[in-house]
Amino acid sequence: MTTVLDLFRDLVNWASGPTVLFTITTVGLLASFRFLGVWSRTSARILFSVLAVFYVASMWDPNFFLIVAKPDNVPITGVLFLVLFFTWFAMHQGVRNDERGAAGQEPLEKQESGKVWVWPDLVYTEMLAMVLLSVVLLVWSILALAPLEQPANPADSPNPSKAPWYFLGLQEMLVYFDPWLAGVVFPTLIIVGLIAIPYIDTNPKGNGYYTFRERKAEIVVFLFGFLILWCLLVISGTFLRGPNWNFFGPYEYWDVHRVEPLLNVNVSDFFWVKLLGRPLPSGGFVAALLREWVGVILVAGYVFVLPVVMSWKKDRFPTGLKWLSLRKYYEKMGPTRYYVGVSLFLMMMSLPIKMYLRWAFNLKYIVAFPEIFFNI
Amino acid sequence: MKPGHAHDINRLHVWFAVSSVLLLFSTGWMIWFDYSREWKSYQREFVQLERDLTARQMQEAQGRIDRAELDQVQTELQEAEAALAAERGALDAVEAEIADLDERRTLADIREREIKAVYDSDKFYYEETRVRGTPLGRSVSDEEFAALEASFFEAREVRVAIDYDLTEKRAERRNLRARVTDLAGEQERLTQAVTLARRKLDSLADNFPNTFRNLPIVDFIDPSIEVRQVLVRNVTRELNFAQVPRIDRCQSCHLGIDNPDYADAPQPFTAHPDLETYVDRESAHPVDDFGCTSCHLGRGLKLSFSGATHTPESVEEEHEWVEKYGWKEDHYWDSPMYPANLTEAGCIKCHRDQVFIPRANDLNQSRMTYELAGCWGCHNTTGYEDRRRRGPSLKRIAAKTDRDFAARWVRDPKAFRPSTWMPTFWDLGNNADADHRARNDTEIAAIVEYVFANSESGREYAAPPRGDASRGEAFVDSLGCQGCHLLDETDYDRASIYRRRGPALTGTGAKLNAGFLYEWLKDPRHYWEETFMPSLRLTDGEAADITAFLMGLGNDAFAGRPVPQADDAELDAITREFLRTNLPDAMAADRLAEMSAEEKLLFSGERLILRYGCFGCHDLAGFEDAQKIGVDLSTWGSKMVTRLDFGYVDIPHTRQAWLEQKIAAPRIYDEGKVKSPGEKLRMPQFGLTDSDRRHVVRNVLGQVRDEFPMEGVKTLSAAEAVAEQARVLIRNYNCRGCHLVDGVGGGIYETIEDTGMRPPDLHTQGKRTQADWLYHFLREPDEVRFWLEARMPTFPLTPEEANTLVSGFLAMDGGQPFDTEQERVYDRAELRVGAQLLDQLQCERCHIASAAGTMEASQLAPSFRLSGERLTHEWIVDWLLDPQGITPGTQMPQFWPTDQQGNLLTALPDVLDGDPMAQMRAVASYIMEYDR
Repeated sequence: MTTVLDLFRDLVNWASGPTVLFTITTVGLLASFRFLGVWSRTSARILFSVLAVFYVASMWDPNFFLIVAKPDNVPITGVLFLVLFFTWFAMHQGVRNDERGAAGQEPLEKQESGKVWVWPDLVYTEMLAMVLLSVVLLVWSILALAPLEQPANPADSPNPSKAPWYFLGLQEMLVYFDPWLAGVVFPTLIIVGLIAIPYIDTNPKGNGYYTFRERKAEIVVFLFGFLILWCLLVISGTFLRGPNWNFFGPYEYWDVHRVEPLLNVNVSDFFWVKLLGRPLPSGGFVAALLREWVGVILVAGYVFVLPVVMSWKKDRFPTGLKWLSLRKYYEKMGPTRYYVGVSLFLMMMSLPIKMYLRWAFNLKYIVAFPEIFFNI
Repeated sequence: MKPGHAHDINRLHVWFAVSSVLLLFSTGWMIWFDYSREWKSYQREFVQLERDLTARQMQEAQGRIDRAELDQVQTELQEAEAALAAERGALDAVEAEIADLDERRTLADIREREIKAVYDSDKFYYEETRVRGTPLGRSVSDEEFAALEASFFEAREVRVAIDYDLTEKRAERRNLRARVTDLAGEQERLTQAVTLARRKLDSLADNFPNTFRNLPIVDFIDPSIEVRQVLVRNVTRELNFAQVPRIDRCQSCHLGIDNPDYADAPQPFTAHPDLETYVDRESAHPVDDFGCTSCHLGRGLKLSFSGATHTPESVEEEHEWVEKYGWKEDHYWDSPMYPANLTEAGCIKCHRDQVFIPRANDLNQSRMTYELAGCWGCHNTTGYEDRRRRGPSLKRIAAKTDRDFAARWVRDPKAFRPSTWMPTFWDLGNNADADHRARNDTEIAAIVEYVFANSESGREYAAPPRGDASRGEAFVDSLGCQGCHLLDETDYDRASIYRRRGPALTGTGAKLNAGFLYEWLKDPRHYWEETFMPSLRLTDGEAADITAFLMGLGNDAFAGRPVPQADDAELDAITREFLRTNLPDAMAADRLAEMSAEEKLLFSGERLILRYGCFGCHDLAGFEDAQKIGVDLSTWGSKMVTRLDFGYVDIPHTRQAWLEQKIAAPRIYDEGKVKSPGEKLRMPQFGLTDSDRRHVVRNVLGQVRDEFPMEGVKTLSAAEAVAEQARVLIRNYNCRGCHLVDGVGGGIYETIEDTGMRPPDLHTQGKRTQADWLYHFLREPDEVRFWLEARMPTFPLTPEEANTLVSGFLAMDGGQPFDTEQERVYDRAELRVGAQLLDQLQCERCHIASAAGTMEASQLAPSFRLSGERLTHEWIVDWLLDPQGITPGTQMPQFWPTDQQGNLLTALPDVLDGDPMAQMRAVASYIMEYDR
């Protein structure tokens, strides 16, 4: 029995590693858009039951309990369940409406009467929500006392030092990008991008009713960005990042002394040292440019050339790369919206790309100018 | 569902009903949760305790009342009241007049104030008009102002007249009632204690107002159950680079802490065990100025048992607390409370510069242990910067002992002398296994080789003259050697710490060369300039006897131990290891091949001494300026627990647990680790007993980084600073080995049963003797108490040091450097009386100049012949007044006792009109003049 449990623990610990977890969830999410049947009530019941059983059963594991029951972390469990529920609900309704549409029926929302009474329907339910929320907050505040620690001591920062939970996504990005990118440029782009959505996405369909078929690309891109690149990072940042920002499986003890190898290398090292077998060019600005030329070209290509290339027609791509063509959108959106949208999209995708490069090649920076603190 | 509705309203009703009940329940729960907080429960419990105590006090107070006196007063009061009633008419008339006057005064006062308001305003405008000329708002003419002023003065006049009458009438009334008032006052005075207790009992009564104010919800208005805190400005706390006042709420639960009546109350209500020194307003550390956490540490703001970071002193206590208080470690506080048995560690942060802290008995012992164990040899410690090295100099060791002994000794000093402070470096946790055995021997051989090769050749000692060992033993027993040296090592940690100052004398014969010992006894400084060992002014014969005795103390088991020998392969490995630190392997191999065995030993020996830090305690040629190898302990008590490496050892993560473990098994944190020889932990095993270990832990924990404003830190007064300098010398020369100083010490008393044979208590020494005499005595002791066998040694004091000691004693006791009494020309008559008293009191039966057969040592006292140049007149009087107060247990009778009221009595009413003070002064004067 113990061995089965141990095996299970090991499996979960392994699956929680950044590489595996990120890959599994990404693949799962994308697959769910292909096999829309999974958004049924039954699979939701199964998913939530499995998750609930997993949670409750895991509480017997001291290490799992230690982290999950920490008063600071309790809300993140709520986030996990709530986000999953609302995603499921929206997709479930959307898929049902799509099926109705295919059968020539109008969306469910159309069937509902457009008007209900303010009293009692609206006011009553609002009050109920108020009362229940008060109950939850009261009970919560009694059971989990405010997680106040001692006053900050500048000589002794806590390990791990964690950002507030809503910034853990950003903190996770810091693992892969320089602070000026992860801490300044990306957050700005996220806000700007969110503001820009209504101007880029002018598709009028789906207003007032749930649908998936009519807004496929928008929903897939958004959910990938929100669920995987934000919520997953928040959740794993809370539960799985331990001392020294090392990764720990949910059943592992957060050992401060655990040492992980840090052997990250730059693209310039790959090119000069590993490929050409020579030392890095040194001395002055020109040498630095020479050192980094491969990375500069790669980044410039990704940022400036790729959007243009992607606007080409499919037949200009060799077979196997035809999926890169976004001509359809270029024609539908017009050049301005297309370029803004694609640039934002590519920026978003740079995070998973960099993550995989790190995991696969220990890549630290594509372009590294430590002389001027400019690293990508 | 009805049309137009989004929900089934009836179902919503159900939902509403259920959630309302839930809300009611959770709100109730919240209120109860707040109401039942730990500290509130304690305060409720304490009220009961206080009630009981007050009721008891009231009863006692009632019992103390002088019934007869009270009855008397009450009867008189009744009579006086009756008398007053008889004069009712006169009193009533006065009362009526006062009432009338009161009424008139009210009216007159109103009128005066009304006019004054207008008058003040007009005065302003009048002044403006006069000075500026231009009316501001309105102008007031001279006439107008004069008229107003007249009416104001008039109104005031009326009121003053009434006031005068009123005063007169009231005095009249007072006179009429005087007797009644006095007697009532007397009655009140007699019953005051009872009244106070009753009033307190009323305020604690279990009645409606008292219950209501503490009820849940309404208890925010004016509860009697409330947080009690002190705000301490002097001993601050650091918060993000700023020094902020400390806020201690400990008294919210420790409610009886400042009240001696609660000395035996259960916790948390128990009174502080030492209210004379702490907490009390009159003590040196009043709670309002120092708070609680300044000394005890812990989190003063927190109101729960665990949150305040109470720390158990043992596993048993931890279990007890878990059961009783639900204790769990709160690691969100960098400086948790000291466990009760280590509390005195808290003194150091403010009393850092003091070598001896009065009343801190545990801590003084702890600091002495830290000092003697020589922790500061390897670990930098504030206050120990300029000290001589702790252990003996090894620069001339070859003259004193031989290599074989040194090698055996270094391998395991405790096997030779269990009480030695010299620690063991080998055969410990991380180098004890079979693989290390040969390596350990080689390391020892290399170190010994280096030390002896670098020892100055010095003189060759001739064999000492033959002595008598049994006489030698008697000398060692009696001369005072045992003030600093143990002769018997059983239970050595129970012996006075001052007797563990020098090495135990066991096994000396197996260690030293006899010629050396003989010369050393006669003059220790010939061998080592800096030794603290004094000269006992031994004659050649005495020295020879003692040498014979000590050389007879062997240790065959130790002498039979194998001598660690270098192993060639290991020596090569060690040498190569050191060579490779800055040479490539191939070059290291070449260099190794070129070296002779002797060169290898010397090279490795030097590096090993550097690694193990032998020079921390011993003077060693070539290591005069070497840096201490250990971690700085000056602020170790503030070190973050997270910075301590607990390795794979399963102990509580606290500073004291780590430290205890570290001292008990210094290499234990290496367990399970992969380390090269150079990386291994190096701290040696001191083999301290449990109590010694706790002392070291206490001292180290107290050395913290906290900085306070000057008001909070102990600053020495001028006199204290002088005394402090003397106390440093007293520690260095180990005066407490033989004498009681500050009531502490007297180590040698353990070996002298006859109290009369013990070296004297130095209490009031600064007043007792004349500064000149003390100075000369310290530099060249002569005989004061001829019957003592223990000899006051001749310490190698410089004139400056002797002066410091004299000034220090004077400062400790408030003595004067120059005794003005010496100038006095004593009155012949007084001296005659003195002589007569001396005779009548038979002083010279005990104060004699030489042994008188039947007297026991404890009855003998110094002869008066020395007194003139030795004692001070003032002190002799003090001594006659209260011998027991100065030297508890002395045989000196108190000839002038005091009666219960504190009046001095005399047995000789005919002498000097029976004035006890005059008699004592006469005795003192005669004693001072005795020899002239």
